[in-house]
Amino acid sequence: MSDRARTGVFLKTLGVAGGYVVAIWLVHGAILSKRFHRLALSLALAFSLAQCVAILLLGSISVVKKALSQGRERRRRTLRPEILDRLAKHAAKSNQLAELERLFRNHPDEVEACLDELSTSIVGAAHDRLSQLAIELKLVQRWENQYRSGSAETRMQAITRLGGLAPIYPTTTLLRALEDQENSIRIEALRILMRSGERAEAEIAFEFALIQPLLVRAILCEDLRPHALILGERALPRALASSDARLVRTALELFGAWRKVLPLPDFPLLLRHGDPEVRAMAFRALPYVAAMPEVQTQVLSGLADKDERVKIAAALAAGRMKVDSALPLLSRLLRETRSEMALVAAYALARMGPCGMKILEDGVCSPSPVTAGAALEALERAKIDRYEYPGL
Amino acid sequence: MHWHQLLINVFWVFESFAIAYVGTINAIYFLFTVLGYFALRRYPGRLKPGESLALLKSPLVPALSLLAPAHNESLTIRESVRAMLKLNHPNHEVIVINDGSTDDTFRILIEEFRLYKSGRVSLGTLRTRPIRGIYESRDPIRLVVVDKPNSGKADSLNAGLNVARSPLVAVVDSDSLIEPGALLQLAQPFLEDPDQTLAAGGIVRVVNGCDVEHDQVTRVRVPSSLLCRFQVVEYLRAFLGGRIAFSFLNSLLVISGAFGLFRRDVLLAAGGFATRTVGEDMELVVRLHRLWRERKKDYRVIFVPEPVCWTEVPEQWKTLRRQRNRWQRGAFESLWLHKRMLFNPKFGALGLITFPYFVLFEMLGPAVESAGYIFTGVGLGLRIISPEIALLFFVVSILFGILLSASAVLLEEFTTRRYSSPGDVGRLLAAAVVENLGIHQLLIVWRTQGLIDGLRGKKGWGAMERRGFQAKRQVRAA
Repeated sequence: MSDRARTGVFLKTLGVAGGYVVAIWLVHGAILSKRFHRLALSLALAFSLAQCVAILLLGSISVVKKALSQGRERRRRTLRPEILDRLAKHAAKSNQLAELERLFRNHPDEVEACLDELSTSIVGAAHDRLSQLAIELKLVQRWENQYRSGSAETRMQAITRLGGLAPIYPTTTLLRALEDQENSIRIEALRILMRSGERAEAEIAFEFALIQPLLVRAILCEDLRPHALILGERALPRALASSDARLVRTALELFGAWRKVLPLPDFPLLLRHGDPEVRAMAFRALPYVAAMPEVQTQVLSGLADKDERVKIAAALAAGRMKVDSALPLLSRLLRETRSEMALVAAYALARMGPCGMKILEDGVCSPSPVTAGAALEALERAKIDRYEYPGL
Repeated sequence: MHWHQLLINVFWVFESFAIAYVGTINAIYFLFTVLGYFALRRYPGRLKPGESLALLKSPLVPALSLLAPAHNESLTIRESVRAMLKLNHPNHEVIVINDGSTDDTFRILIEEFRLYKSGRVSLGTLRTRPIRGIYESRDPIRLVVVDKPNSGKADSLNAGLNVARSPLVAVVDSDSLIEPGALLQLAQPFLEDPDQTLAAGGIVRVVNGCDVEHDQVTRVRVPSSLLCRFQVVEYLRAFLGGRIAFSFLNSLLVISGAFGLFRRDVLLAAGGFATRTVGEDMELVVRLHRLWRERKKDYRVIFVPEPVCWTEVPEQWKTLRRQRNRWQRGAFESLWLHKRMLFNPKFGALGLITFPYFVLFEMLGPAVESAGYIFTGVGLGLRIISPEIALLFFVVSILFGILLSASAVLLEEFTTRRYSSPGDVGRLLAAAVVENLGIHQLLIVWRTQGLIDGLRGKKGWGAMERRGFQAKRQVRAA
C-alpha cells in the first residue's frame, strides 16, 4: 500500500473516531446527562447508543443494497435477452442502431454490460461493427471519463472495455493506464498493447515490464513469450547490455522463463559479469542461447567460480547441456561438504549418460554421508526419469 | 471499621481500574475494527481470473513446499492430502510429517498414495528428533511424507523444513481445507515485494455447518451448533478486525499455524519453530520481528484477507476449553520468551506500543476482566459499590462486547461477504448478542486458567476430537 493510501486509511479512521466523539458528546449532553449523573456511565451509554444506531444504519444499508442489487439483477435478466439479440443482429450487419440507442438511453448499464460480454466472444468484422457501435453510443467517452474515477475497479473496467475496441485503442488513456498505481490496471494496459502483435508495442510492453514488481512480470511473462523472437532482436539485447545490474537480472529472468532458444551474440559477457547474481542467472539461462561459442569453456569457468550461486547454476547448465568436459569438476563438487552443492552436482551427473551414472554409483559408496546421500537421491530419481532438481 | 473502610477502598480502586481497563480494551478493539474496515477497502483484492491463469503458467512464481504435520488424522488425512495436492499453484509440493501417529494415518498414506522409502536428502540444518524415513510416491504426484516419532508440532515442522527445498514454505494443519486459489493469493505479497516480505498469513474460517464436496467448501453456512456459532463470530472479530489492523501497522504478532506462508531462508535463519512452547506459531512471528528489527532491516509480516483456510472448531465444551487454555499458554510463553522487547525503544513502535498492548491486554486481559466480574458481583451483593457503578462495568464489558461482535459481523457483510444469506447474517448477529451473555465470560475464565497454567509451566496439547468432513456430508444427507 502506498504512503498516500496508508495516510488515507489513518485519516478516515481518525475521522470516524472523531465523529463518534462528537456523537457521544451530543447524546450525553442532550439526553443522558440528565438521567445519569455519573459522567463515565453517561458517556459509556452514549457510545453504546451511537454504536447501536451505527449498526442499525449499516444493517439497513446492507439490506437496501442487497434489495437494489437483486432488483438490478432481475432487470438485467429481463432485458438481457433483448439487448443481446439486438447486438447480435447489429454485429451481423442488420442495423439496430435506433433501437439500441433507445435501450441505451433507458438502461445504459445493461447495454454496456451486454456489449462488453458479446464483444469478448466474437472476432473479425462483427467485432469491428460492435466497436463502431460503442463509438456511436458515445461509450468511448463514457469509459474515458470512468478511467478518471478514484475507484480502481471502475478504472479497471474502463480500461478493459476501451481495450476491447478494434482497432486497438491507442489513446492517451491507455498510455496513462501504464502508469496507474494499481498493478492490475498496469497489467491490463500492457496486455492490450501486446495484443496488436506489432514490434513497437511489444517492445514498449517488454521495457515497461522490466521495471515492474515481480508480480507484474510473472503475470506478463506468458503474454510476452509469443513475442520472444521479436524482442530477441533488439529490446532484449539492449536490456542485457544495460549498465543497471537490476535491469539485466530482470531481463535474464524473463528470457529464462520464456524457454525459447534465441541468438544472443553478446551473451558470453554476462557469464563474466561483475555481479555474481547476474552471472548465476546467465548460467541458468544458458541452455536457451543459440549457437553459443565455446560453451564448454564457459561452463567450466562457471563451475570454478568463487560464488556458490554461480557454481550451482553452472552445474545445472552442465547437466542440461550435457557438457562432458565438466564431468571431473562435477565429480569433485559431488564430494563437497555443502549438501546443496553436492546434490546439484549429482543431478547434473545423472543427466550425463553412463559416465555420469558411474560416478554416481561410486559416490553412493563414499564414506561421506553428504556425497553418498546426494548420489543415491540423484540415482533414484534418474531411474524414474525425474531429472529436474526439486527446489527450482 | 478501619478494615471495612479499607475493603471498600480496595473495591472502589479495583472497580475503577477494571472499568477503565475493560472500557479501554473494547475501545481499542473498536478502533481496530474501523481501521480494519478502511484497510480492507484499500486491499487490492483477489487476483483477477486472467491474472490467476497467467500465474498458474508462469515459471517466475517461486516454488512452494506445503508442510502439514499430522498426528492421528486417519479420519481426514486422505481427503486433506488430496485437496492439498490439487491446490492451484504452478509449482508446489506437499510434505506431510507423520508425527508418530498411533492410529492408521501412516498406513493410509502409504497405501493411498503408493509411497516408497526414498533417498531424498534433507538439506536443512535445524536440529530435530531423528526421523524414521522419507517417503515419496510412485505416482507422478509431488508428495513427500516424513515419518518420525512423536515429538510435537514444532519439531515436526522443523523436520519438514529440513526436507523442503522451495524458496517459500507454507505451514498448514493437515485437517484443514484450503481453498484452491488460496496458495497463489497468499504468495502474492512475496511476488509484490520478494525482498521485504518475510511471512504472510491467510484468514481461517469455520467449516462446521458448511457443505463440503470433493474436498471443497461448496456452500458456506452458519453452523447449527450454538457453540460453533459463537466461534464464528469470534473468528470474524479476530481476523477481520484485529489481524488486518495489526498487519496494516506492520505489527502482526500472530500468523495462524493453520495457514501461513514464510520464506524458507528466513525460517532457517531464525532457527525454525521453537519446540519449548505450545504457541510455536506466535512465538516464531514475534521472533522474526525481533530478529529483523535487531538487524535494522526493512521487512513486512502481513495478513492477507482473501485466501481462506477452513478449519473445524471444537463442538464439545471440554475440547474448546483445552484449546483456549493452550492458546493462552502459547501467548504467554511467546511473549515471555521475548520479554526484552517490552518497552524497549530499540524495537520502535513494536516494543513501545504493540508488545505492551499484547502483554497488558491480550495476555492479562482475561484475568483482569474475570476479576472485574467477581469484584462487581461481590461488591454489588455486599453493597460496597453502587448499582450505577455495576451498570457501568456491565455496559463497558457486556454491552460493548455485543456491539463489537455485531460490528465484526457487519464488517464481514460489507467486505468479504461469505455468509450471503440474510438468515445467516441474522443468526450471526443473534450469536453476537448471546456470546457476550455467558460464553465470553466462560472463555475469559478458561483463558485466565491458561495464563495461570502458563505461569506454572504446564506443557502439552490435549486431544482434539475430529468428526471429519466425510462424516459431515453423511450427516447432512441423512
